[in-house]
Amino acid sequence: MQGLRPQELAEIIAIDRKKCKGCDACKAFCPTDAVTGKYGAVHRVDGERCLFCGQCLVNCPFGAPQDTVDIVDKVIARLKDGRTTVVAAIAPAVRVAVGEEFGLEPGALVTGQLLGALQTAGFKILDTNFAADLCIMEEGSELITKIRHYALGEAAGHAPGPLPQFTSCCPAWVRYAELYCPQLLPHMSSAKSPLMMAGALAKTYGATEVWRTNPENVFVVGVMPCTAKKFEASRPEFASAAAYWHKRGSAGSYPDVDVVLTTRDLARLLKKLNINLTAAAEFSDADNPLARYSGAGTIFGNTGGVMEAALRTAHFVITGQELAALELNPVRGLKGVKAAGVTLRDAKTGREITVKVAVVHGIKENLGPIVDEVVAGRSPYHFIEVMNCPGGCVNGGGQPINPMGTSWLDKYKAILPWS
Amino acid sequence: MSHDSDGPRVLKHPLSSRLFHWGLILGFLPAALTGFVLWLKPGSDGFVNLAMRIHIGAAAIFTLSAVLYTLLCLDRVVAFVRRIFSYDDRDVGWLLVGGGYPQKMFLGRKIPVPPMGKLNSGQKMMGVAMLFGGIVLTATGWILYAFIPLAPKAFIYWADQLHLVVGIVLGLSLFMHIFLGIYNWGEFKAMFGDGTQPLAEAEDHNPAWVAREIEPVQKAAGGRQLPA
Repeated sequence: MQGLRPQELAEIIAIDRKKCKGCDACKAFCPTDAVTGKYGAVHRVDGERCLFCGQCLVNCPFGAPQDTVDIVDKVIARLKDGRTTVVAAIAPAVRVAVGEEFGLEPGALVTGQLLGALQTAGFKILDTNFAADLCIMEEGSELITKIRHYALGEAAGHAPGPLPQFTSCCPAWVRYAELYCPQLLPHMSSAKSPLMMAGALAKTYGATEVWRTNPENVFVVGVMPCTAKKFEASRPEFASAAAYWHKRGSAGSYPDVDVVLTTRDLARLLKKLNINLTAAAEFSDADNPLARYSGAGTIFGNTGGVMEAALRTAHFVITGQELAALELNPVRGLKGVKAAGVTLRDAKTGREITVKVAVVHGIKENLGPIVDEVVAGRSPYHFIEVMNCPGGCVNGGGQPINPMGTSWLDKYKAILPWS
Repeated sequence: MSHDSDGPRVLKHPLSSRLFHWGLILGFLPAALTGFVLWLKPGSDGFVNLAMRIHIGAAAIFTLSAVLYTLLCLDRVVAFVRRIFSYDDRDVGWLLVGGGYPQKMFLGRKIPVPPMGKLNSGQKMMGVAMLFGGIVLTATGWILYAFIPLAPKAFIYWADQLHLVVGIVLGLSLFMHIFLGIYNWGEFKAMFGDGTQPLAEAEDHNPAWVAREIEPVQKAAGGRQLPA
C-alpha cells in the first residue's frame, strides 16, 4: 500500500460489507474522509487516508467497521510458552472502561482488579502511567526549553523546535499531521508516546533490573483504549531498546512494543482464560517500581490531561514552586477547543510570562482553525494538546462499545437547532 | 347505486380513498421496490444511491398521504379499522378454502365460499398488516433517516432490523396484492376508475356488504354519482 512502510500494519479498520447499511454514520465521525461509498451503498475504508483511530467502529450502530488485527490467541500462546516474559503496559483510560465488559457501570475504576487479573493471566506489569510521567517530564522539559529560549531570550544548547509545541502522544494525531499538515511536524514534541517509552523501558531497565531476563525474551503487550496504537507499535522507528542493546554488543532485532490489545481485546483474552475481572485478586507486586505513578500520568487519558500535567511541570521548573492547587480547570471539560493562560514568574530572572495553551479534542470538528493559525504564523499559543478522539483516550476506538450509548457529541445540533 | 349498460353500479371506493390509494402507489410501491435494492445492494454504488434517494422521496409521499388521509378522512380510517378487526366464523370458513382462489386459479372451478362484507378475510388480514406495518415502517424509517446521530446504537440497530423484516413481509404482500388486484379485474377498474363496480360483481364478491350496507342513491342533475 502506498504511503505505508512494509513493516507497518495496513487496513487495521475494515468495513464488513454484510453489515454495512450505507447510513453514513461512520463518515460523520471519520476525521479524514477516509470512508468512501455513496449514501445507501456499502462503504469502504481507504487505508491510505485512514488514521486507524476507530471512531467509525465505535460509533457505527450496525457494527460494520471491524478491527482486523486480532492477536488475542498469539498473546495467550506467549503467556503459556513458559519462556517469554510477557509485559502488559496498561494505559490510564483502560482501567475506567474494561469493567464495562464485565458488567460494571461505565467509568468504574478497577485498577486493582485489572492489574490483578493481568497478573493471574501471567503478565508482568508496567503501568503506562509510569511512562506517562516520563513522557511529561520529557515533553514538559522540551516546552520549558523553548519558552526560555523564545519568550525569555535564554540561550539554548541546541536549536529547539518552533513554538507552539504540539503534543505527540496521540498516534492518530501524529499520523494526521504526517498525512495532512506535514508543515506542522517541526512543531511536534520530540517525546515519544507513553506506550513507546514503556516498550523501550520494559526491554531495557525492566528486563535487566526488574524481571531479570534477557531483553529478547520480553514480549511487550500494550493494553490500550486505541486502535491507532496498533499502527503506532508497528512503526519501524520504534525499536529503541534493540538499538540500545546493539550498542552494547547484542544483535537482537525487535520492536519496543510487540503487539497492542485494545480494551475490548483484553476483555476477550481474560474471558478466554476464564478470568473474571470483578472477582480477580488485587494486584500484589507493590515493589515493582514500574507499576507506580503520579496523578499527572493518570489524567493523560482525558482531554486536557497531558496539558494539565505539562503545566504542572512547567510551573514547578520555571517558578521553582509546586502548584498550590493541582487542578487547572480551564483545560478540563468537553468543550472542543479549550484555551488558557497561566502566568508564571521565572525564578531565575524574576520576569513574568503568560504561558498560553490550547487543548483540542475531536480533530474532525475542532482542529482546523488551530492549524490554520499555526501555519499562518498567527498562533497565540505556546503549547497545544491534540487528541483525535472526542473526549480523549477514554472515548478511543478500542474501548468497549456501549449499546445504549450514543457518543455523538455535537452531532445532534444539525437536527435540533435549538439545542 | 347507479345504472349504466352493465346494470346498476355500487360505489366501492370514494374519491378520497382512491386518492389515498394513488398516494400509496406513488409512495409505498417505489419505497418497497427500492427497499429490496437497498437490502440486497445489487449493482453499482450509483445505482444503490439512486435507490436510496427514491426510497426517501417515496417514503415522504407515503407518509404525507397517510397523514393527510388520517386528518381529512378520519371517518373512513375509523371505518377501515372497524372492518379489518371484525372477524367471525365466516372468516374461518373463508380462510380454510383460501377464499376459493386456489380452486379457481389452478382447477378452473368455482366453489362456494362464506359470504364476505366489503373486505374479505384476506383483505382484512392484509389491512391489519398494512396498518401496523405501515406505522412501524414509517416510524423506523424516519428514525433511521434522521435520528441516527441521536439515538442509542442498540435502538438504531433494532429499528433497522424491524424496518427490514416488516418491509420484506409487506413488500412481498404488495406483490400478492397487485396480482390479486389485477386478477379481480372489476376491482382493479373500480379503484383506478370512478370507484364504482357493477352490482352483480359486488354481490358475487361481497354479498354481505351488498345485503347489509349499500342503499340506492339519487343521481344529481348533471348525472354525478352521489355517495352512498
